[in-house]
Amino acid sequence: MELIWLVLALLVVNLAAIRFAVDTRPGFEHSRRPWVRPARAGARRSVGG
Amino acid sequence: MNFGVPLGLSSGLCWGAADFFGGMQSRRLPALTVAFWSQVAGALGLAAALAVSGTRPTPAGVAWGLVAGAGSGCALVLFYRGLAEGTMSIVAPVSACGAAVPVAAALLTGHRPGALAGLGVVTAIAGVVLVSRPRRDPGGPARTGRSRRILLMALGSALGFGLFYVFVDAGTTGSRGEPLWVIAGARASSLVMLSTIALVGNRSALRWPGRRIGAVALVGIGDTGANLLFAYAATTGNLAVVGVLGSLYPVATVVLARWLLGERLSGGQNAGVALALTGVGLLAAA
Repeated sequence: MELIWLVLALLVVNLAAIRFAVDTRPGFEHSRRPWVRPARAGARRSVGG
Repeated sequence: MNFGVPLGLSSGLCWGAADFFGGMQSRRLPALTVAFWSQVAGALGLAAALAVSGTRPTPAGVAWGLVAGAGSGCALVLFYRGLAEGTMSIVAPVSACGAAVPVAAALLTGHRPGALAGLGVVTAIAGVVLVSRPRRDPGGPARTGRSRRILLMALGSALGFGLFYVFVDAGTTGSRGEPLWVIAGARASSLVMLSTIALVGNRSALRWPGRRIGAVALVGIGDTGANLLFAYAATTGNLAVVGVLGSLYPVATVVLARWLLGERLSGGQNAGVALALTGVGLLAAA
């Protein structure tokens, strides 16, 4: 029974990684470089996330 | 002379520095790229260590390692992504609270954790709650949502690292597997998991990091070096003391972030970081 909980927890981590890791933008919190938000490309430039 | 203390301290410093520079590289490259190529470099270092040690694998130990790696590879991506996007001084201590997962696993299997472990869990949770309290920020709701997302990534990585501890313990203590081979199994499956995520999501995430490969490789070698230092420290010194020293790795990340990035936290967040680190230390000592 406890193994089921551990496997479920493992699945949660895997799904979270798939959800967040496929985003290939590097983190820009501390960068001064401007970047284009892919979904709004062409609409406006966004700086710093 | 007992080398346990300096080796344990070195492993903590090495882990913390590798995490900091992994996070720094993830600000310039996708977190998945950094996690994958640093793990490849670490695997090469591990292969060298295995060749030197001449130890033989046990099937059960390697099997538990393979299960452990399914969580740790994903946890590493979430961790690097959190470090890249958020405040490292918060993400690193929150992620280290994964030390509470083995306590939860012990409860699931019907074991009663000791008073020190219970106190560690309560202290770590109090720390996480304090650092996650929303600040009055001019960024407004958008920034609050971003902070929540980063906190979720840090908690996800904590869960993944915590599961890694549980499964590695099952491989080394439960199945009496050789620790190096358990870690090798974990490294192999984490690379498979990272490749699978890239195939499912975005294949370009595994592209060659180009001129940054040296820095990325150093992150992986630093991480593997810390593992080996810890393993050697545990065999030569008092495991309780070495465990606590090794668990202090987020301190190195926090110090580097303050020193090199000039990160500053509010009074409440500082208290939360201190509580989280104390909780991790208590859990390691339990």
